[in-house]
Amino acid sequence: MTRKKIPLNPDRPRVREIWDYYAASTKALKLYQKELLDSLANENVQSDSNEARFMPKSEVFDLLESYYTELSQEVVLTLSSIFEAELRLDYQHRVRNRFKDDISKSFRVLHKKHGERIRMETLLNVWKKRYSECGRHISLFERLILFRHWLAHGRYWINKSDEFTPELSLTCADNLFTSLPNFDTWESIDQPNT
Amino acid sequence: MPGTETFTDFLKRRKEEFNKEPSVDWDKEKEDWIASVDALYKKIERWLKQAQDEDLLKIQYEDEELSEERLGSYKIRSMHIDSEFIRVKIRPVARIVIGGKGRLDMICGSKKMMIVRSDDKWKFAIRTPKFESWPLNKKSFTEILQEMME
Repeated sequence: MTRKKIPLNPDRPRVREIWDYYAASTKALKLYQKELLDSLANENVQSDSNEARFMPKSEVFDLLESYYTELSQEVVLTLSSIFEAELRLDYQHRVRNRFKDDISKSFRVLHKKHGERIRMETLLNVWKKRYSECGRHISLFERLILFRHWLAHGRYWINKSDEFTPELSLTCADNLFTSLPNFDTWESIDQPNT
Repeated sequence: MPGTETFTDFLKRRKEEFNKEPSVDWDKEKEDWIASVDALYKKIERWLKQAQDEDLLKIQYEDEELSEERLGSYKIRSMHIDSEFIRVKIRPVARIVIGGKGRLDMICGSKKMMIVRSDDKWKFAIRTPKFESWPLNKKSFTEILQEMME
């Protein structure tokens, strides 16, 4: 049976772009923070921020903290979806190119059954089974995915799993993808300061 | 400047920047603020006099202690408007707020409305999340009070 190939999006977001967005947004938030604190320090300095209007300092700090958390979680959500895409792209890459290594052979078996639409957990299980030495990285990555799951579903239940920052998420994915053999689709990036 | 500035220098610079402002007599500002809150309470008492005379409402005060940078710790009263079935509390939040000269919160259970002081005038304000404000007068106050008590 011929299975339909998933058309790939050449404009999919890259880690570098999201990381730059995170750095720029953090910088913007810091400027915003300065504007609000300056306005509290000097009543002649006006802030046109309606969301903080008539807030005392304690509430301004709570507001800023909520914005930093929101930005962090928004970026973790996007980054972890890119990481998921990386795992799937690697799967497709191995299947389409018919590589001869063990993992590619296992993926081809899976492909006969599932085609290109496959659960990420299934892919991770194959990796875990074949490369038990990467188990620690895979376990941490699975915890990131649990956190992503909580974010993606509107955070309506109390999260009991680990919380991830963008920095930790990127380290977690980078550790995993650079330890997996021939994981060629991954472009590692250095984490600049945000 | 990260790299050339020590952490202590950084803290000193930020403190200096934060305190760089036109000279303000903060003791006088504090007195004005407390007096202005008291004047507002008197006005509210007048607006509610009939309901009090008919034993429908009772007004009580409670001392609160607020602590703010520049003003230090100070005592200020909060107002309790009690009916037989519900209490509405008007509680001073702070004199130093963004874009105004003080704020009180009017609270009843989970309902909350801001009363803000701007240009020596009191206004109601709310974020829903859009920010809206309108004059505080007898009509607007009793409307909000009724809405909160409902």
